[in-house]
Amino acid sequence: MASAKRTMTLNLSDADMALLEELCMKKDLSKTALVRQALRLYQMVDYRMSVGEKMFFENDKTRAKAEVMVI
Amino acid sequence: MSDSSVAKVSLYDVEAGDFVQAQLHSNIEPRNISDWETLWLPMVVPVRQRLAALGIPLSQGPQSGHWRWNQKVQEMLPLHAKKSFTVMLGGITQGMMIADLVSHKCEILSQKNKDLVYIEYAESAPWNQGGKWYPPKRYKLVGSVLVGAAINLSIQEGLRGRIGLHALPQANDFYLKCGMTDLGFDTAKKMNYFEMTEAQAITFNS
Repeated sequence: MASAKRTMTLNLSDADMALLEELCMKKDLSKTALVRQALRLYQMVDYRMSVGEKMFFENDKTRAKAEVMVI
Repeated sequence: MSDSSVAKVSLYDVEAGDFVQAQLHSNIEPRNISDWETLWLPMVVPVRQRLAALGIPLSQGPQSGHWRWNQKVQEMLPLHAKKSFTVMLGGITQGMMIADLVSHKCEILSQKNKDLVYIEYAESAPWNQGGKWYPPKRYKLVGSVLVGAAINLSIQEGLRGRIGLHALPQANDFYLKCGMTDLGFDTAKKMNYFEMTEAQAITFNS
């Protein structure tokens, strides 16, 4: 079921690459899989904000909400 | 938005007593919504009306009967994180599913906070549901095909077969039979939450 794939080169700073590798370890994802997931999440956030929704984090214990600023 | 592909799958034809070849499509298309409107709803709506007339809570009838697939598809269209599937046989929609790739994380401790494919909605056509309110099942295995599709999507996306869902009460036994772990009643969703590990996904696919 896989669709045609296209390839790109991604230039990252040492810090960004370290972050990417850390997240891959933590999430048990390949770099490609993680970047794809990040892209989908970014698009979802962007779309929902474009239609007027706001994104919040809610503290599970205190129920305090903090709005996430997305530029 | 999504790339569409087709795979061969098997359903069990109850009347014929044999397996038949069906197709698993990686998209819900207008023809599937048309089938839902013209073939599914004419079976679903009278059942819900009968329940209401008898004063029986709708929750005791087909519990997905209130789902509006046209709305659900419209909502998911702009979002790359949403994937949809249909099962077709004889040119007729036998089942549909919408899954999400980013909105939920694993709850099972061994895979806590890892990504999974979350099944938001999965429904078999009313003539395949059987039970107290519908005729005997026409085709079996639609649900299993859809679960298998979610697992394979998870594998393709590097999520190792991990899937999760909140189940309508009528479907709890089915998901247990699929080998999923029941993590109990989620008070926020008012449904039991089920999740599958990589090992359970391998067992399902074997």
